[in-house]
Amino acid sequence: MMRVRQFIAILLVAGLFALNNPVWAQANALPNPAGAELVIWTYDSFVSEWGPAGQIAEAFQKAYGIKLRFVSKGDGGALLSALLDVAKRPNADIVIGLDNRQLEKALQSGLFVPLSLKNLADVQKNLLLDPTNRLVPYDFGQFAFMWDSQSGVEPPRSLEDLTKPLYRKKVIIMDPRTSTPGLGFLAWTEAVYKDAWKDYWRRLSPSILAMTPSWDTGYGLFTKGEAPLALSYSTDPAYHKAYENTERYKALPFSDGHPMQIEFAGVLASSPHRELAQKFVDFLLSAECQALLPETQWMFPSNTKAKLPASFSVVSKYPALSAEVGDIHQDPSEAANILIGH
Amino acid sequence: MSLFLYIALCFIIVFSLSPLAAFLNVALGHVRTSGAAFSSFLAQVPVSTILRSLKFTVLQSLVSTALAVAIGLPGAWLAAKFRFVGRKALLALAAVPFCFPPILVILAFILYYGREGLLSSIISLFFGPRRQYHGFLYSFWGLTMVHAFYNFPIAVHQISALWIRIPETQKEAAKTLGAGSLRAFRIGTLPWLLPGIAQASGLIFLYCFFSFTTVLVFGGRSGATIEVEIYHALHYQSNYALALILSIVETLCALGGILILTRARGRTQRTMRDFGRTSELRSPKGIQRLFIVIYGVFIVFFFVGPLLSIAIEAFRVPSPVGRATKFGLENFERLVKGFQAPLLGAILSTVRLSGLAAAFATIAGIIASLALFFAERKNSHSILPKLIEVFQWLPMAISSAIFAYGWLFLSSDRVVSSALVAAQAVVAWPFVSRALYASLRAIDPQVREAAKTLGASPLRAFMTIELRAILPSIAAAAAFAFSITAGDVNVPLMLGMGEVETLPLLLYRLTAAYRFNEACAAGLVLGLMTGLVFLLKEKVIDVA
Repeated sequence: MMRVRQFIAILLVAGLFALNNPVWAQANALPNPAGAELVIWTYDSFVSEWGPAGQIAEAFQKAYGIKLRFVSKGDGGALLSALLDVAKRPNADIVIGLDNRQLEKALQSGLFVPLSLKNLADVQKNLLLDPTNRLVPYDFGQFAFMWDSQSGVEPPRSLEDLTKPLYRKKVIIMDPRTSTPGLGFLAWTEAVYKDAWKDYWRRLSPSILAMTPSWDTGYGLFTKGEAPLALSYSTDPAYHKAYENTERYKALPFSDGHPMQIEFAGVLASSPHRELAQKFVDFLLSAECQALLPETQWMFPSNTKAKLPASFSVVSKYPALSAEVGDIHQDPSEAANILIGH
Repeated sequence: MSLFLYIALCFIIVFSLSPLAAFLNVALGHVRTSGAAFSSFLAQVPVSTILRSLKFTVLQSLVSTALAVAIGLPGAWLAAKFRFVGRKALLALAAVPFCFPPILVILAFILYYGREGLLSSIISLFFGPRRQYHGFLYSFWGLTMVHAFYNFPIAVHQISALWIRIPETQKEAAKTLGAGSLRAFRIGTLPWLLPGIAQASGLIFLYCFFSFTTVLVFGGRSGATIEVEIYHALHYQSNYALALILSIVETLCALGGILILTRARGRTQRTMRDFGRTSELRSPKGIQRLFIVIYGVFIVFFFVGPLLSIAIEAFRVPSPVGRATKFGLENFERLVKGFQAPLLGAILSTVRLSGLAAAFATIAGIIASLALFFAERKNSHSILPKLIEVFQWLPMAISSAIFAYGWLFLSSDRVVSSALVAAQAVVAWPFVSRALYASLRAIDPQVREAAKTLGASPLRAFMTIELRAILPSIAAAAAFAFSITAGDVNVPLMLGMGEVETLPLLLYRLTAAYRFNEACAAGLVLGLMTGLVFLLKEKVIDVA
């Protein structure tokens, strides 16, 4: 009986606390339309502790006195589908983190407004894929397979090499339905194998240890030593150089060439603070803010005036390969289905 | 008063079913607005996806259940027959699947069984480093093993509760008549034991059938359960038609499972009542003692070990390669002081949202159980109590994704937190109601008759007898409801990350990002919150 009384007491106290504490109410409140706060939708690693969100928010508040609130929608695939979900209105001002392969789908939605930004003049010209400037590029990188040089496994030199029996259950890739690197890999295989890409995926199947829902998970598995090879970016060695002072993990050059990923930001037409939001995107492209990106996003800044840190000396630029996904609606599921259940 | 109860119950049921109607409306609404016929609705539904995930779901549930029962049966036998140190602890493990959310247990398994996990380290101490590592956890067998270890305590608990009541007399009689011990067991014990095994299997099957987080994290390549496919359809494709058809298939299968479960439950309850007394526990001798030790080591090594590793890893501070590990509070600190201070916010919103959901669930559960109790007392053969009982099971047979989205469609400005509270309350109230109903039925009707004979009015009799008797159960059930809702990751994940940041969601993200030590710190906090149920009497777990 005593125990039960204690429980009732605990529950009552917890309940009262929950109902009365104003701080808790605030933590979950919707954005206040009158207050000066911009809401930004993005993906997980952008807001993570090592991501750029914290430093950007601080710098922007110092310069403009406006608070930023970052909301992570999970991975890149979830970000786009959250935007396009007709059942849920996007209650954000700004979106950061759509990539070049999602661009067309995102622009078709008509959710974004054209921007006029003064820092756009300094942005590398070949990145400007949207002539209407509704979605503007803020960073870019190249896909590459990362290899653990202490694994004792011989490094592959091409996509074809990955299908060799020697790499059985040694490769981690991401799900093309949910993750933008996963989608990038699909584009890579479609560019190299053209119509025979499905055949390639079938041959690749035995080599794949895991197809993870997001880049975070896949790369985490890789650095925990679960597999010696993982799909990632050519810039990743810089991370290991800067934080662990090691060159153990290497980005492998493939004879097929390497597709590029360009990441975009935009302002939503439904935003009540469009002017302010545009100011922020301009700030995101400024040389000052862009200098924060290499060592937080581990990507190249789009602004040509932004300086690269010393850690990027270990990053090499590989021959580029132009790669697109043929049917953005069908191909990702078809590719994933080849791997699932085998 | 009973009229009032029925009205309230109708309200609860309508309330519970309204999100389904809302979801149906939206899913079919897409057809209407695009002006297309029903055939185009079906065109959005790839039959191969449904068949493949159905096959995978059924297969993995069957294998998981078989493994769980196989691990649990020896434990059930030991707990029913012998007196030994740790017997109570073994039975209390049954609370684990209910009060430690899957995401926490997944984390424990990766930490323990993963390539650089504790188990691997121990093995490599003896046998040197493992060269061939094929990521067992991420295969079909890895997934079923996780399910099996997560759910086997249910089998131990439920089967031993029955076994302890089956008297030895029949078996002894068979032996006297010349049967060997195996045959005597088959004649004298098995017929009474089987319903108990069926009941535990049914429950475990249902949990595995609806498994979501585990499959999402480990499933990747081996396949996707229907629940995971629904998540994909809703979250990544916005394909409501596919989600609708998938959830209908899922519910039909689950209803089949529930039918078997309730049948078996009816039979075990009869067995329990008929035999009544529990038999005496014996002290183990010789080989039996050895067997207990082996089983104990097995469970500690494979099941308790992973759980303990969470507590250890929470305090271990990851250090750069080559330096000695140290222990401290850095993981907690980083979560509290880091950018947007995720931990405190998550704790606060979990307590607030789950507290509200649990409160609603408790109130609804009290009303439903009283209505069922009174309806049955008045006329046990009428259709009404049966109908109420069906409704008690319904939320267990329907995808929580559909509830979550349904509530979202209902709330005018798409407020996620209110949809979250409503959806979690709907998922939790049947547990409360079943628990309370069981303790109401346990009250001896003669006590009430005595009170009436002594001149108490029906209301007064109710207040002094029934209400007082179930008051402890209400507190226990409320705590249980809180535990279920606080540990739930399905509903917040379905509703979209970032809208509400609850503790299980934070845990999911940290785990997904392989930030294990911080995940453990958050997990320890969550475990302490949901583990409250551990302190309860075993009662609530029996009816869960």
